[in-house]
Amino acid sequence: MIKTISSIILIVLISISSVYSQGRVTGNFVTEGQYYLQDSSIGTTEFPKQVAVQGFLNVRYHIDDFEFGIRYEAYRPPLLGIDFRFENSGFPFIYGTYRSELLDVTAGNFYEQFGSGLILRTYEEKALGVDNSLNGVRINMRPDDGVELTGIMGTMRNFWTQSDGIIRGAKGKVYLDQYTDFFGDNGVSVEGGIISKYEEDQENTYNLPENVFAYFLRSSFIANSFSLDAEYSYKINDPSAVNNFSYNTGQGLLLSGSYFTDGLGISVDFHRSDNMDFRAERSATGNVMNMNFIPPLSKQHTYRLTSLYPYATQLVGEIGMQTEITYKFDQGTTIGGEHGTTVTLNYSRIQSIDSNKVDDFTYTSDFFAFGDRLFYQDLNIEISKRWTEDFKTNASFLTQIYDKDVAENGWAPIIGKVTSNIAIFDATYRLSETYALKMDLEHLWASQDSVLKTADFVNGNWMMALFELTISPHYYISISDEYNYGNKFVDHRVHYFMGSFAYVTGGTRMQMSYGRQRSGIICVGGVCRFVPASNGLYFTVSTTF
Amino acid sequence: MKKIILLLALGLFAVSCDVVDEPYLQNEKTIGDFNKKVILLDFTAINCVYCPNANKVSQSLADSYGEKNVILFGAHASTLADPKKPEDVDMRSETSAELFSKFATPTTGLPIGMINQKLRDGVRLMNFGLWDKQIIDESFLEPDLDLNMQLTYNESDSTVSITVNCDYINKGTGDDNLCIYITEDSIVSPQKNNNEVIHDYVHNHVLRASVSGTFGEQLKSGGADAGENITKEYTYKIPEGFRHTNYDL
Repeated sequence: MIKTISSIILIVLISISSVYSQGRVTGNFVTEGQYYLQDSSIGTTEFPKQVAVQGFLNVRYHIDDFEFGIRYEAYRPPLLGIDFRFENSGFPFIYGTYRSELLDVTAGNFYEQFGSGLILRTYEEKALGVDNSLNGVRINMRPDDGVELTGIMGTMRNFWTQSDGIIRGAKGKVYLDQYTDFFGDNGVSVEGGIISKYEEDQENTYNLPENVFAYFLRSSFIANSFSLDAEYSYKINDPSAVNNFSYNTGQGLLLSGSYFTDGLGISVDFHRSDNMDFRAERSATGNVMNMNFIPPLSKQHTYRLTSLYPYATQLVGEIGMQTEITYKFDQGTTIGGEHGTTVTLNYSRIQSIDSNKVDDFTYTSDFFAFGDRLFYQDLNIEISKRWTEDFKTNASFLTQIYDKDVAENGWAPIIGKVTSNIAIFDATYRLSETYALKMDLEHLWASQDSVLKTADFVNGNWMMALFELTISPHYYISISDEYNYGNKFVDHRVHYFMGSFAYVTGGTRMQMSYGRQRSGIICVGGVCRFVPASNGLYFTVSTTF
Repeated sequence: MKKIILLLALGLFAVSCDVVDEPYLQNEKTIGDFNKKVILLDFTAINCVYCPNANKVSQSLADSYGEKNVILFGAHASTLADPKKPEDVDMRSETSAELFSKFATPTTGLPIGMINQKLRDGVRLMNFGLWDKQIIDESFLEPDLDLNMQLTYNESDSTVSITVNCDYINKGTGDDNLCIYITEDSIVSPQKNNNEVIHDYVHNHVLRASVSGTFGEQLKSGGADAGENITKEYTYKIPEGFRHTNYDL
């Protein structure tokens, strides 16, 4: 029924756009698929369907003060690592928006974020298999200059159904600098919001809160060369599967300060989150129906081997700090050379919160105390240098400590901490107006606390090489190999060869790759998912219009 | 102005708030009469830090509803069940491993359990917070067959003679398999619990072995008719190394 209605809406939208030429249609289309080959030497999981294909199409129609949109999705079945509950096809996202000077009204599906997301952040990230859009009503108002008010109500997407929980919320933001000259040219704003989630208590063991309330307060100060940002959130007791039915309240605090001047940038961040996991259904686990988001406190690395031990924010609780210093050596100086050199030094350290169990349901925790357990530490330096107009390099060195048991094993004592050092050298040389060659060499040295008893595919030293030829403006050809030559189990010292070809024209990109993909963890903004090893042919086509 | 009032009204909905004070557990429940038995199979492990909490929940459910009504199996599985220290008792079994590989994946987090192998919201493996609700739902169901088991234990050669009578009330299906599992109680072995280790933890309902294979023996191809009676007989030799006390079949 819903499919039929959605199809009709889509057809109507397209018909309107063709009949009334003043309207405008925009959108995008992405499809990706993989043909999986069994490869016992890298530990692939059995995949009886052999081929996985998933795709989606967004169509938006804009006319005067209105916007209508619809998204079609199909997972037949989803790619390995994406939750199998996505296997289906249909129209999970349909909305209509009216915009005026005073207010915007959206009915249908929408995404919303309050502040940094400590009590509410809904978003879509296909790489993670995350889509927690809300289905309901949203009103945004601008009653006065520098004042923004938002009210929302809705349920959250749960694969192909909606959450049992209903989310109600409101937030307001005031730009104080627009009301008084007291702050001079500086930007000062205050922001606050509330959320209440209703979910019926259908079980018979616990006395559960059916209305869970949370709020946040934030203030920002931006001057010419520095900025300060503070945000606090609070959530009443919210026993759930993720917090092991704890009746503690939740609290989150983010503090960040940064200073920028010519060539120099310094930023310092602190955060503490305690029991702030907030879901549209209390039984949800994994990356399912998360209502909020704790911004990551460590640097989000992008190089291949840095994704072996990436840190994901621990939703149950963590406390930590990060600092980053960037300095650009000017052109003409000894270090700067002819084209300048940029050096970035970054350090982050994240530990458990200090907590003492009171009974099976509650614990106490000293707010600013660091717990005993180190979750993650990362010290890294990156030096970017352009040697000539056509030649630039990027060298990085990272030294990390990663508690694999906390991050991947549910705190079970299996591996302990992994200490790794990673060296990266990346060079790009433009051969001509058309041709450019990129080389990326990486090496990772790793050791861990425990002696490994069970063979796995990610331990010990790795090396990686990638070569990419760009033929402007259309073609990209690359080959790469990752080699776990230091695996403690000789049988698992495997090469992961991969070849890739991409063609880009206008807003369309087509890519095809063939080879082995090691098991690992994909993270986007501190939210991570596990990807099993695979071998086979991968393709993707995307286009925007 | 009207719109601002509308927005404020929307905001007011969002201040609903239920702070719960002790007691955190409920006392009264509406339950069925358990004409149909409920099997709670819990994947657990000695190195799983939240498993003692799940064990508390499963034991309290069996205590509240009766151990005859809620039958517990603790399947020690996944790499978390590997003994790490000499004092760790190895409670893994082939049966548990086969069940785990059929119903879970290597990355499935423990503790996790299934109730009568039923799907709930498309998922079979459930966190322990959902067990009670699912057991109560099952308690209202009527059985499709009556099962009766007679046991004779011969101490001299450690064999058990097992006779199972299956009286079909409703028509069965070809997928009806008879599984007979052996569990052991009162095994003392260290168990991780949050940040600590409980050295003298008592493990009950530990799934040790199966008599008729992990996934059982088919009762009748094509399915039995309503009113049909099927009798199955087994002779099972208790493996060496098993203590001859505290077992359930």
